[in-house]
Amino acid sequence: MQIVSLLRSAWSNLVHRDHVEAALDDELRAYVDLLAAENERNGMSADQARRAALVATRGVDQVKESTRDAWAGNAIAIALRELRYALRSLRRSPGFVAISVATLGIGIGGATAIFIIIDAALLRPLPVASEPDRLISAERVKFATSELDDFSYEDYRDLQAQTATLAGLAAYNGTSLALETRSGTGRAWVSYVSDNFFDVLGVRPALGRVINATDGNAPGANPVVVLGYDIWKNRFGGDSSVIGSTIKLDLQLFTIVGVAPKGFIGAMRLHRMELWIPFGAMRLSPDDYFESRGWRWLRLVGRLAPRATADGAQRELSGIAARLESAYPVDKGRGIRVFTGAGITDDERVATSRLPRLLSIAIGLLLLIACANVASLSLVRAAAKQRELATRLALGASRASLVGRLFIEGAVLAVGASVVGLFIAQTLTRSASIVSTVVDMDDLDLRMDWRVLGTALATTGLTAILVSVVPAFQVSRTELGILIKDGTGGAVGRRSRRQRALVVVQLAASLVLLASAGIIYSAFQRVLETDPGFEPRGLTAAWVGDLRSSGYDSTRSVAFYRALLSRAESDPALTGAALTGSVLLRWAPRVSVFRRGEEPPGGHESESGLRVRMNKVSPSLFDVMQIPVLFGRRFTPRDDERQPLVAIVSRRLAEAFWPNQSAVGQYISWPARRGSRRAPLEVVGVVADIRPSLSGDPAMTLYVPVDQHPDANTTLLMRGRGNIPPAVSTLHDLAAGIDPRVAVRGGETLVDLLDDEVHVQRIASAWIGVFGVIALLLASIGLYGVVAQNVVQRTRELAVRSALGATPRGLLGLVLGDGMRLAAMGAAFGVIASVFAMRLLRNLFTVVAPTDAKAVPVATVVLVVSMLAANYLPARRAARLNPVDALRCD
Amino acid sequence: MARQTPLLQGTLDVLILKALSLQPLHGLGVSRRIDQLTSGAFVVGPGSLFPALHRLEEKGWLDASWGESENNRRAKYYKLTLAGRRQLGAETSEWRRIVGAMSAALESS
Repeated sequence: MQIVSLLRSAWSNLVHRDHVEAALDDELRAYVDLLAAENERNGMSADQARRAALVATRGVDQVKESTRDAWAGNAIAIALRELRYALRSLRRSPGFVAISVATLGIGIGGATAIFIIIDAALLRPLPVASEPDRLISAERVKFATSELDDFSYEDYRDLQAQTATLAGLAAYNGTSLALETRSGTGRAWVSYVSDNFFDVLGVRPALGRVINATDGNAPGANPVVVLGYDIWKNRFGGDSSVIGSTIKLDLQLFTIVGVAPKGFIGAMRLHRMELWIPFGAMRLSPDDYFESRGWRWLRLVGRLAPRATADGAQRELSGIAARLESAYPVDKGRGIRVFTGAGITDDERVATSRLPRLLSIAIGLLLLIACANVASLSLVRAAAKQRELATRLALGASRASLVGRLFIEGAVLAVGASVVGLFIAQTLTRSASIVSTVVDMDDLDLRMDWRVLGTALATTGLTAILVSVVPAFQVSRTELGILIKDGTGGAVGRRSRRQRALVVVQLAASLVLLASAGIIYSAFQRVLETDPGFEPRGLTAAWVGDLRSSGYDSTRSVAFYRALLSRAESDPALTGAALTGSVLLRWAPRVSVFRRGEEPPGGHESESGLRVRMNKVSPSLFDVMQIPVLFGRRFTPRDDERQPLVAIVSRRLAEAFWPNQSAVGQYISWPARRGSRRAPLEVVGVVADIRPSLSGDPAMTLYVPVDQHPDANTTLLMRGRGNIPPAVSTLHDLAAGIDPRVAVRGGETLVDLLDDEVHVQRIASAWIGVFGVIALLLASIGLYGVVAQNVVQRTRELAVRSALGATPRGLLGLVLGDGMRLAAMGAAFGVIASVFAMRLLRNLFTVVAPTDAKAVPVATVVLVVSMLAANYLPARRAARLNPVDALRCD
Repeated sequence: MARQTPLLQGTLDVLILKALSLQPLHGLGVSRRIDQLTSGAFVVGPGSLFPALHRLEEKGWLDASWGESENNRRAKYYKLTLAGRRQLGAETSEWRRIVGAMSAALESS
C-alpha cells in the first residue's frame, strides 16, 4: 500500500514537476499569508505583520529546499538535474566532447572489431558439427630443422592401423581445379579426402550423402563429389535434383552424391573448400602418390578417442614415428607432432601461434592510447575549468557535489563513446569486406563479442570518469583566491609542465604503436613482394590433361608436347614458351643426388646424398622464366635421348658440391628410383637459384632436359608480350591445331599461383593495415585535441603579447617553435622505444628484418607532421585574433 | 510562552497525525494545533513541518486538498486517511509502551 503510494508520488514529482513546484509555492504563500493575518489579528500593522511572518518562516526558499528533499524520488530528480547541467556544460566545449567521444569510440570499436575478426578467423574452433575441441591435427616434423611437412599415403595407412588414442584419423589436402558443369566452366577449390573424412569431422550432409567407406581410398575409388553448400546454391541453383548428375573436374567425370551442410568449409580454416572428392578417385600416378614413402602430400586430422588426451596421442604417434624411422630410411630423422584443434596449417600456425598474445598487447595499446587521449584532454580542460570550480567552491558548493557533477560529465562522455564504439565495432565487422576484398572471408561467423566490447567499455568508461573527477580534487581551498583572480591557476608553471609532459608521452606511445604496426606490415609486404628468382609477370602456365585419357601412349604424348612447344614458339602472340615438369619449384619432387663416385651401392634412390628439387624442362625454360644463366650453357634441342645425359644445377647446388671450383664439366649422379641404373649427368651450366616458395629460401635445384627424360605429364609455360599473361585459350587453340580431341585442362597465371601461396601473409598484412590505420587515427586525433586545446588556453597570453606589439607572424613562430620542441622530445623518446619494440617483434616474427625498421622514420614523420598541423591551425587563429576580443572573451 | 522543548526524533510524525485526528487542517493550523496539544512545549516551524507533511502525504497517511481558509484564502488542507488513522493507533500504543517502560526504568529505585 505504502509502496504504491510512494511510487505514485515519485512519478508525479518527476513527471509533473512544474505542477508540484507550483503547488509548493502556493502552499507556502498561503502559510505566510495566514501567519501575517494572524499577526494582524494580534494587533500588528499590515506591514509589520507581513514582515514578522516572513521572519518567522526563516527563508521561504530554505523551507522549499528541505521540503523537496523529503519528496519521493528526489534523488532521481537531482540526478536528472545534474545530467542536464552536465550536458549544458559539455555543450560549451564541443571540441573536447567530439574528440573525447571519437577517440574513445574508435578505440573501443576498433579494438573490438579487430578481436572479433581474428577470433572468428583463427581462434574459434572449426565449424564442424560435433565436439571440435576433440579434434587434433598432426604434422610430420624434421628433427634437424623443426620443419613441418605433410604425410605420405603409407604413413597415413600405418598411423590409421596402429593408433588407439584416436577414434578416427582422416587425410586430406586441397587444390584448385578446372570445374565444368552444365552451366559453364570455371575453377573451384577442391579438397581431396580419405573416405572417413566427413565421419571424423562429424559432418552430416545437408542433402544426399557424404563421402564414406564405400568410396574407398586406394586408386580406383568411386569418382564421386560432395558439393559445398554455397557452390550448390550459386552454381546449381540449390536444386536437389543435382544428386546423381555429373560434373567434370580437370576433365574427369565425377558424380554428385551429396551437399555439405551450410557453413562447412573443410578442414582448412583459411582456405574455403567448395568440393570434396575421394583422393583415390583422382588420376594420380600410383608410383609416387600411393607407393612412395618419400612422397608426402596429405594433411591429417584426427578425433581423440573417448578419455584420450592430446598428450597421449602425441606420445603414441611419436612411438609410431620412431618405428617408421627404424623401418624406412626415407623416414630417418622425422617425427610426428600433434597439435590440438584443427584447421590451421603448418605455415599458418607459425604466423598465428603468437597471435593471441600479440593481439592482446596490441588491443591493450590501442585502448591505452584512447585512454591517454582522454586523460590528457581532460587535464587540459581541467585547467580551463579551474576558475569555475574555484568560484563554485568559494560560493559554498561542497567538494562532494563538484565531484558528483564532474562524475556525471565523465559518465555522459563514456556513454557517448560507448554508443560510438558499438557503432564502429558493428560497422567494421559488417564491412569486414575491407579485408575480404583481399582475402576470402565471406563465411566467417562475425558475431559481436560482448565480453570484449564490455571490457573495452569498462576500461575506457572508467578512465573517462576518473580523469574527469580529478580536477575537483586538484582545486584546494587555499588556492581559491589566486585561482579566481588570475584565471589560469597559481600553479600554472607546474600544471603546464605536466601537460607538456603528457603530450610528449602521448606522442612517444603513439609512435611506438604506429611504428610496430608499420614494421610488421612492412615485413609481411616484403614477403608478398619477395623476388621469387624469376619474373612471374607475363607468364601463364597451362596444362593439358593426362593424354592417356585421349588414347595417347607415352611416346605419342611426348611427340604431342614437342609439337605443342614448337607451335607455341612460333606463335606471334607469345614471346616465348617452354615445357616444365613443375611450374612452381615447391611442387617439384625432391631427389637425392651425389658427386660421381660417392653414390651408394645398388645405385637406386635413397635418403642419403643431397636432397634437391628436380625439374624436367625444355631448353627455352631459362629464357622464358628469365632465370639468369651464370656459367656454362643452356640446354639445346640437341640434348636428346641419343646424346649423353646432361644437367644444369642452381648456384647453391654447385657451391655445395664443388666449392671454389667450376661446376661446369663435373658429373652428378641421380640414381633412378627403380629399374636400370642411370649414368651420371654432365653438368653443362649453372643458373641462379629460385625460391620454392616466397617465404622460403632459394633452393638447390637440378634441371634436366625433358627430351632426355620424357614425361607424359608436363606443363606449358607461355610468356605474353609486355608482361601481359596470355589467355589459357591460346593453349586451347594450339592444342586443337594438333589434335582437336585433346582438351585443355586449365591454366593459371604465375602471379595468381604465387598469390595463393602468400595467402596468410596477405590476410595478416590486411589486418595489420586496418589496425595501423586505427592507431594512426587515434594518435592524430588525440594529439590534435591536446595540442589545440593547449594553444586555445594560451589565447590570453598571446593576446597580451600581441597588445605589446608582437606580430601575428612572431606569435605563430612562438607557438610552432614550442610545438616543435615538444614534437622533437616525443619523437626522440618514441624512436628509442621503437628500437626496443623492433627487437621484440624480431623475436616474435621471424620474417621481420632490420630493413623493416624503415617504418620507424615514416611513422615519426607522419606523427610530427600531424602534431605541427595541430599546432598551426589554432595558433594561426589565435595570432589573428584582435587582442581586445581575446582578453575579453574569458 | 511556555518553555520549548526540542522535538524528539520520530515524535513529529505522530504529533502531526494526532493533530489531524479531529479535523482537516492547513499547515499553519497543524502547527497551531500541536502548540495547543502540547501546551506550547513543542513549536513546529515551517522548515520541519512541510517536509514532514509532504512525506506523510506521500506515504498515503494524509490526504491533501485545496480549500478555503477562515479568512477566505486558498490553502492546502491535510486530513487523515484510513491508513493514517491506523498508523496513529499503532504509534500511540507503541509510544505508550515506550513511556511505560521508560517510567518504570527511571522510577525504580
